[in-house]
Amino acid sequence: MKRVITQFVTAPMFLVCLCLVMALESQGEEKGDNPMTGAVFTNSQPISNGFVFVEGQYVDAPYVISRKDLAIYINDKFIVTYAPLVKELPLPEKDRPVCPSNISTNAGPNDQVVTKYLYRMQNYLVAKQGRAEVADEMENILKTLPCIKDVKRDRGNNECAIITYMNGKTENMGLVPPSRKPVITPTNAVEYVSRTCRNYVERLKKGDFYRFAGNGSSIFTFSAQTAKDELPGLVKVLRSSQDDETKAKQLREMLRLPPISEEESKVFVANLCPSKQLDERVEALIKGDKSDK
Amino acid sequence: MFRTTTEIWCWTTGIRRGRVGLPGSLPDTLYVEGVSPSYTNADVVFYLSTPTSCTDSAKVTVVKAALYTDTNNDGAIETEDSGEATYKGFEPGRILCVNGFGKDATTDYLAEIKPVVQPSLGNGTAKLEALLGGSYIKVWTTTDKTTEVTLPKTYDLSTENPPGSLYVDGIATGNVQLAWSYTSGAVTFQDKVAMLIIPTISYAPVSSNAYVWSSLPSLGVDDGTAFQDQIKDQGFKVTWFSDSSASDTNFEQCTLANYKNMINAGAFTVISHGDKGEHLAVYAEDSTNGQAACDTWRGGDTNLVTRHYQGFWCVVARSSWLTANWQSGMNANRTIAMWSICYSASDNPGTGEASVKEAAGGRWRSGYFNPTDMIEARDVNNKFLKRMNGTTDNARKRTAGEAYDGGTDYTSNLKMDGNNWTTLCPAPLADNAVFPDTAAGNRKGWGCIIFDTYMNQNNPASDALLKLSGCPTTDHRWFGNSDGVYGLGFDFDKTGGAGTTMRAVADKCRNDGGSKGRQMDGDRVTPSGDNREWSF
Repeated sequence: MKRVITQFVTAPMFLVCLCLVMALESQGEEKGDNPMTGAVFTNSQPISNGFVFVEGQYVDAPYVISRKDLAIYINDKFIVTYAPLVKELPLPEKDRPVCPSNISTNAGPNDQVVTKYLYRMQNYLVAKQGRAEVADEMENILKTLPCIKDVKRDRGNNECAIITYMNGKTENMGLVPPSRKPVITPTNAVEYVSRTCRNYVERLKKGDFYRFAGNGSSIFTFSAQTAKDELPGLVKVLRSSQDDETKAKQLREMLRLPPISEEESKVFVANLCPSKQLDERVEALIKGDKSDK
Repeated sequence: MFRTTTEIWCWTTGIRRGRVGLPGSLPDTLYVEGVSPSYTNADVVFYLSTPTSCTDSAKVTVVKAALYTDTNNDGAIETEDSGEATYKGFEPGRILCVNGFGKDATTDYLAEIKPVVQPSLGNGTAKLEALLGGSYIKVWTTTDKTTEVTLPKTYDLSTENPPGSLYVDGIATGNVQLAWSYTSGAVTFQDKVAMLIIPTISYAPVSSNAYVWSSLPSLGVDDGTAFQDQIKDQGFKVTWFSDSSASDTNFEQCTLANYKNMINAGAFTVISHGDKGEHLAVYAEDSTNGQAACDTWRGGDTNLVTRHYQGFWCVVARSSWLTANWQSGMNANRTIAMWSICYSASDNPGTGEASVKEAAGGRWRSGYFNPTDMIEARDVNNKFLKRMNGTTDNARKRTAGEAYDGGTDYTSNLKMDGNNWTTLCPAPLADNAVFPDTAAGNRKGWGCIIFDTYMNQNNPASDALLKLSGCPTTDHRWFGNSDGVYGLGFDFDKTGGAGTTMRAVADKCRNDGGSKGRQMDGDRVTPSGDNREWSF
C-alpha cells in the first residue's frame, strides 16, 4: 500500500518538474539581469553592448546568444559545440573481467582486444582498491598477457609502466587512470552549456570583446575597459591602405599576441568586411574615453 | 649703541613686532631672535656703550637644532631652511617602504635623517625621539644596520658628538614623527620631521596576456571561466588554447608552439590531468594514429613522453621539461600561475622531480597536493582572484600574499607559493594613499598619491597627475626608490586658500612592465580603469 501511494505521489511530481523544464525551454528567454542559475537556456534578449568577431568577421550588434542542443550561437553564427565533450562515465564492472582467450602474441599497444580488456579491468579494480594496489595488480595482469614480454615500472611515475611487447614495440602506459574526472555528462550537458551561455550574456552586457575562431577552440577576450585601449588601434590597422600581410603583422604586434599564428592574423585581416557600425561604435568608445578624462 | 652681527634680529616685543635696526637707540626691553646659527660658541656679542665711555657686553650663542630628511621624496635632502624644510613636519613627509620584498627577499630600504646642532657645542644635550609611531621604525647608525640606536637617544654634548646621519628602517606601516632637540639648562629647542611607513610595493605581471590551457575540456572549464572573468576586468587579455576533442588526432589550438609560448603569459591556468612531477599536456584518440599524433606533437623532444592510458594517448611534460622550457620566462614575466591539475603542488621524491607548479616557475604559483576537480579549482580561482581584484574583503587583499592568506578559507588541498607582493594591476594604497587628504591649511607644501605597485614611467607625470581646480601646483613628478617608482608627487602653494582637487588618471597610471602596463584600479574594486580624485 505504501509503495502504491509513493508511486501515486511521485508520478505527478515528475510530471510537474517535466512541465516546468519544458515551460522554461519554450519560454526561451533569460529574464532581466538575474539569470536563473541552473535553468535551461535557449535565447537571450538582444544585447547592445560588447564586440563580437567570429572567424575574423565583425558581427553587428545587438547580440542574441542562443543554444541549440549543445551548441552556442551568437546572432545565428556558430561559436562552439560541447557535443564532443560529453562523456558517459563508465559504470563499474560488477564482475572481474575475464582475460580474452584470443589475445595474439603479436598484439601491440593499440590492439583493440587488449586495450578493451585492460580498460574494463582497470575500471573494475579502481572501484574496489586504492591507486597503489590497482597499479600493482595491473602490473601483474599485464605480465600474464601472452603479447607482453616485459613490464617495468616507470621511474618517472610509479603509477606507470614501460611495457615491452613480444613484437618488439614498447610503450609508456598509465596503470591507473588520471584522477580528475570528466564533468560533462549526458545528464548535465544542457545545464553546462546553458551556464556558458549565461556567462556570455553577462559579459557582453558589460561590454566585453570576444573573438572566436577555430570552431570554438580559440577564444580571445578582454573587458570593456581594455576595449577602449585596444579597439581603436585595431580598427585603424584593419582600415589602413596597407597590404594584408603588413596589416596582419601590425595586428599581432599591436595586440602583443605571439601565440596567434600568422595564418590566424591573416584570416582576421582578410575576413573583416567594412562595417559602418564597427567604425561608429569604436568612434563612440574614443569619444567616451576622452570625456572621462 | 648696539653693535652685533647678522645672526640675529631684535624686536621691541615678544611677538616679533617692531624690529629694531642695529646699531640703534636704546629701548627698555629687547627680544632677540636667532636667524642663523652661530659659527662658534658665544660669537654674538651685545655691546652697550655710552658717550661717556661706560660699556658693558653680553654674549649670546644662536643655537640651531634641526632634523632634515628628504621630505618631498625627490631623492635629495635639503639642509637649507627653505623648500622642503618648510613643510617637513606635515604628512606624509619622508615615505619609506617597510621592506623590499616586492623586488626580492633581500632588498631593504632606509631613510637617511640628518640631526644637526650648530654651532658645535661642548655643553648641553641633544635628543632624538619618536613623538609618533616609534614602534614602526628602527634607527641605525649605518646602512649596513650594524648598530641600532634605541629611541629616545640622548647625546651628552660635553662628551660626544651627535652623528651626522642616521638611517631609519620601516618595520611596520603608519605615520611617524621624529623630533630632534637641544637642551641646555631650562632651555630646549626642538625640530620635527614627518615620515610615513608604507607597505612593501608589489610588482604586477609584465605581460597583459592571460592564457587558459584547456587541452581536455571534458574535465569541465568552469575554473577557466572563473579565472578569465576575474582577471580580464583588471586589464588582462585572455586567450584560450583549447582542443575540443580528445577523440581525434587534431590538437587544434593546443600546439607545441602554443605550449612553449605559454611563457608569454602574465597569468595562466591549466585545465588538464596531472600527477606528481608531471603534466599531461595534450590528448589524442586511443589508436595507432593517436599514438603517432602524440609522437609528432613532441617533435622529437625526448624530455616529453608519449603515454598510453586506457581510452587515450597523451603527451606528458615532466617537471624537468617545464623547468628547462618555462621557468626562466615565467619568472621574468612575473607570471601568476594557477595549475588546476591534480598533484601539481606535490613533488616526486622517487624521481627527484619538483612539483609542476614550482618547476614551471612564475612570481606566484598555485597548485594542489592531491587530486582536484573543476568545482574545487573554480572556487579557488574565484576566491583568490576576487580578493586580488578587490571584489571581496573590502578590497584589502589585493596582493597575492593577502589573497592567499596562508590558506585561510581554502581547502587544505591547495598550496600557493611565491612573492606575496604581487598584484594584478596597480591601485592606490588601501591606507594613506593621497596627501593632503583633508583641508591642508593655507600654506605651501608637498602632496602625492601612493600606489601599491611599481609603476611605468613612460607616461609623463604631468599627464598622469592633473590639477582639476584650485591653487597653483608645480613639479608633478614620479617618485619611488631605487627599484622603481610608486607614486606621483607635486608641490603646491595654497597660501591663497583655494580648495584644490587633484586627479590621478588611470589611463596614464599603469604598472611597470612591458611597453604599456595595465591601468590603475582607482577605487581598488574591479573593474580597473577608474581615476582617483581627492581634494584638500
